[in-house]
Order: sequence, then structure tokens, then C-alpha cells
Amino acid sequence: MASLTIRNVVKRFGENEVLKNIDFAIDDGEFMVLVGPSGCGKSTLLNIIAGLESASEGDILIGDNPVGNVHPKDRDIAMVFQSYALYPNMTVRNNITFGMRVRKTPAAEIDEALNRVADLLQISPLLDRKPGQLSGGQRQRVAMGRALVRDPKIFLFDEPLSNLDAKLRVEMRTEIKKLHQRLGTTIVYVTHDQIEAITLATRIAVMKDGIVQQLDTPQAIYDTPSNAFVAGFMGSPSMNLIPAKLAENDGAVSVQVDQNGDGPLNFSLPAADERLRAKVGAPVLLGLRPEAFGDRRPGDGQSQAPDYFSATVDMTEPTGPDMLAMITLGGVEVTARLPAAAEVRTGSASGFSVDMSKAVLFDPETGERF
Amino acid sequence: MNDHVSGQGFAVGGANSTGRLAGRAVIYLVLGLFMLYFLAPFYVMVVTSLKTLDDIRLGGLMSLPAETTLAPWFKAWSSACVGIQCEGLRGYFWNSVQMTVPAVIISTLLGALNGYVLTKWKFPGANLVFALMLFGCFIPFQVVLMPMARTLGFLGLAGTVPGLILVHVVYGLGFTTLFFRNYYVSIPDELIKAATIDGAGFFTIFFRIMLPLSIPIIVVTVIWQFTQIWNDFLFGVSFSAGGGQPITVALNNIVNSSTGVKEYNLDMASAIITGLPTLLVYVLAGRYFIRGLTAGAVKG
Repeated sequence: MASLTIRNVVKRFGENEVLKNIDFAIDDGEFMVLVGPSGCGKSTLLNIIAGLESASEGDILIGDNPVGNVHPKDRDIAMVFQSYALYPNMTVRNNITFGMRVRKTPAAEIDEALNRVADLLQISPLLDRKPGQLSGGQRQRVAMGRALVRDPKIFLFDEPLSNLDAKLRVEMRTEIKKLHQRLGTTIVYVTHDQIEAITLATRIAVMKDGIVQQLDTPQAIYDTPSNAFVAGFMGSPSMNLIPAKLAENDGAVSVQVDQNGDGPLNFSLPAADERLRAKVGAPVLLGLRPEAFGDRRPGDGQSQAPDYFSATVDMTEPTGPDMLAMITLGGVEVTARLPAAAEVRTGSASGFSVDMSKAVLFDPETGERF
Repeated sequence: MNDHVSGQGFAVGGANSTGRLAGRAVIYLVLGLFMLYFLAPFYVMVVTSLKTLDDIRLGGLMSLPAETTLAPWFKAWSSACVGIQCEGLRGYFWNSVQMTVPAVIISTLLGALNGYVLTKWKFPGANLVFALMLFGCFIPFQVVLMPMARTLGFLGLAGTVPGLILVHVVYGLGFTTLFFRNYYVSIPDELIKAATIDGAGFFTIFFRIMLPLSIPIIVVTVIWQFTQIWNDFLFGVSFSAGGGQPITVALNNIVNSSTGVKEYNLDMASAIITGLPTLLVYVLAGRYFIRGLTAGAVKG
């Protein structure tokens, strides 16, 4: 077990800078997820941590030791790959012990480690099979076994669940989390699946274009994304980003949203501070998670208050536990997550509430959060 | 078509299966005719090699031998005159074996190594190097004769079996590299990464992971190289001398000798002996080839 420090890492392929000054530290025992769309540099960063690629600038420290010039095999890391990368010509037993045999570990020690891992992952009955005779989930276990057997300081996972079907993916996700809780080893985990990121991580680094957009706990990233990209990328359905304007109403700062024809809607900002007050009149992007909306109907007392409004439902998507309603607000399509029993009907007007304490405001120019 | 029409309704059983049977019969008939057509020359060779000279002169080309004799085979193997020496093909057969086996092994191994480097240890200019090697495949034999002769002379290998081995390795390298490179492209790079993290180096990965995965392409390459090298005449006749010549050159010297009576039975027996090893390799390795293919199909 060890901490991991990524110090000012830059990676260039010719002219193309794929990692731009990545700089963060991962504590001992942390489960760090690197998440981002494809091409954001997350896999390259993982390969640099593993030593499979070298950084153009900067350094990697495992514990307190710089490992920039250390061969992957001597970094005391283990890696699980998306395609599992099991050696097709070897049995499961030989796949798991290949590294130890290459290192000429004594046979007794190999056996002991093999049995420990096989028990832990419940793959003992599979030891004499070839990878070709295993199901996807079994291969995944074997790939993890190959990583676990060495008892490394740091585990690296490169999209390990992407090749599994949906049900198995959820099962294996739980298992990986359990495994982390049991072993407490530092993990760096790359994925493009934001749900995986939120469910597994102790901290998440959201990446885009070779830059870490935000590094924080899953809840903080979900509640207060640092920019419009993170807001849109994390969460499903993603955060609604509504073009709006800051306005002042009776001395209170509010967000003004155009509603087709019916005049502007004003949503009050309970937590407005002086900084926001100074920006009154400026355009903003109003970020609202789908669950910030509710299904209040007009006419039930407070319906004229600013954070209640009425809108025509364009479409509904029942998901089982919830009902997703699409409405148009500020000229864009907005998704509201309502209780499954909500009485909304496609094509007819319905009343909605907005919990503005959960609103996040972004600068429409830069996308940064105010 | 047939299935489609009859499948639509009431014409079950009879008409349907009769139609299908007729179709099958036509297919097998055509296949059978082609087989006869392609096998006819070989049949003539075998039959002629088992006839006496009188039988050949009196009987028809296709007729079975009136009196079967193995004498031409024994003569071809051990006492036919190649040039002025009358010791048969025996010695030349072993020359060819001594030349072909090492040449096939070396060129296949080097091709595998090249393919491995060109796909999994890419260096700047790797594609250019590969393109140039590919270019080498398309240079006709005749073009390299003179430079090759100079090179062999310079190395002191002119007229020797090692010299011929070198020629065939060099000439075959383009093809073997092409085969292995294209095969290794489809092996995921993650396998190499995983092995690297496991602590395996360049040659450990090559011998313990890449080669065991390469059986189908090794078989293809061996069949290809064996056929090419064994059947080669031009390099053999150019770069070897006297008793060191490969069997193809000796066969030519038997068949094209213009003294005395033309012994067709001897010619045929010699030709079959010369061609037998390539046939054998194909029959043996071909079966393994199919097994190798299906084993490789189960991806890890």
C-alpha cells in the first residue's frame, strides 16, 4: 500500500499535447476514479502511472519514490485491462502465476499466493481451464486474480467492466468495491462510465482534453460541479443547463428564465451573496439536476411564488421508480425527475416546483461556476 | 432459391427432397469431373513410372501397366545418371533436405521476430522498414542473381549449402515477415502490456506468449517456405556446384540428358520423388493447420 503523487505530468505525441500539466496526489488506501469522455487522456495517464508510457515532463511518485525511470515490473503495481489481456495459451493457473514464475518465485510461495487469490475470488474450480473456456465474468475474475496475486502497492484498472453485459457489470462493480474495502489497497480506476465513477470512488478526477476539470468526492462533484462540462458529464440524466439572466426582484437576486411567450420566470436565489449581486443583469447558465424539480400543481397556495411555474410537458419517460418529464425552459429541453405517480400528461400543461437551493450557476462564456 | 419456393406451402416432402438431391448430384458430378481432370496428369505419371519401357512404347498413355515394375523407382533413387555420375537422386535429395530444413526454420523464426518487433515494439520508421521489406517480395529472382553471387563470393559461401541457405533466408524474409506482421497486428497490445507488468522481457514475451499463439501462421509460413525453397531451381542451379546441387537441379539433369534412349518411366519416377516432400508437408501440416485455426479462433 502506498500513496501516489502525479507531479506536473505533461504528455505529448508530436505536436499534440494529450496531458496538460496533471498534478494531484492520491492518499494511501484511496479509490481514485479517473473519468472522462474518450480521448480525454485518462488511459494515457494510467499508462504513465504504470510505466507503460513515459511522461514528456513531470514525474510520478509511489510513496516517496520517484518512479519515472523505473521499469513497470519494478514499480510494484498491478493492472487490470479492459480486454482482460489473459494469455490465451495458458491455463488460468498459469495466467495468474506467470508473473511470479517469470520472477522465479519459489514454488511453495506461488502455490500459497495462488490458493489465497483463488479462494478470495472463488475461481478455484477454473484453475485448469484456458481463458477461451471461460465466460466474460469469469475472465474478469481471473484478470483480477492475476493482479491480486502479487499483493502490489497500487492497483490500476483500465475500464475493467466495459466488456461485460449490464447485469454482470453491476455485480462486478459491487465486488470490486467490496474487494477494496477488504484489502484497503490504493486503486486508480479509469472509466468513461460516470455511474461507475460515482458508485466506486472515494474521490473522482473528471478529465477532459488532457486537463483535470474537477477533483473531489463523488457527492461534491455531483452537487457542485466546477464547470458546465462536469455538470453535463456526471449524472444521468445529466444536469439541465438553462440559458438565463441574473435579475434583482424586490431586493433579492433571482434568475430570470425566458418562458416561450408567457414572459420571464423568476427563480429566487436563497444563497445569493454580494459577488452575485454585482453581476445582476449578466447572462448565466442555470444548472439544475432533474431531481431539483417537483410536481407541484398551480393553485395549491404558493403556486405564484417565483420557484413554481407551469409548463407544457413535451414527453414523459417512466423509468419505474421515477417519471421523467421533458419540458421546454429558456429555449432548451429540460428533464425533470418526478415521482412515478406524478400526474403529468404529454401535451398538457403541468405545474412544477424548483428547489433553487440545489441550483448551480455557470458563466455561459467560460462554462466556469460562479 | 429451391428451399424458398417449396418452403412456401403445400409441396412438402417428395418434390422438395428430389430437387435437392438432383442439385447435390449435379454438384458432385461437376466436382468429380474436375477432380479427374486435375488428377489425370498425376495418374499418367504414376502409371508410367510403374511400366517397363516396352510397355510404354506399345501401350496407351492412360492404360494400366501390363507388368508392374518398381525398377524405375529404384534406379531413380540410387543409380540414375546425373551428368556423369550414376548414383541416382539419393544424394541430391539429402542436399535438398539439408538446405530446406534450416532455411525454413531460420526464415520462419526471423519472420516471427520481425513481425513481433514491427507490431509490438514499434520504433520510428517501422512502417517504412516494413514497406521496404514488402517491396523485397516483388523483386524477381533473376534481378538478385548477380549481386547475390558477388555477396556469396565475398562471404566465402559460393557453391556451398550454407550459401544456398543464406540466399533462401534472405529471399524468404520479406514473405515470412509479411505473414507474421499481419498476424500479430490482430493480437491485442494489452497482452504485451500485461506481460511487461508481470515482469516479462522482450524474449520472454516472444517465446512464452507470442510464439505459442502463432501456430496457425507458423504452419502457413512453413508450408509456403518449404514449397518455395524445395521447388526452387534457379538459385539452386546458380549458386551450387557438382555434388552439392539440390534435387531440382539433379532432376533437370536426368530428364534433360540427351544421350541414349529416353527413359520415360525413370523420368516420371524421378519427378514424383522430387515432388513428394512438398506434398507430404502439405498433407501433414495442412491437417494441423485446420486444427490450429480452430484453436486460435477461441479468443482470450
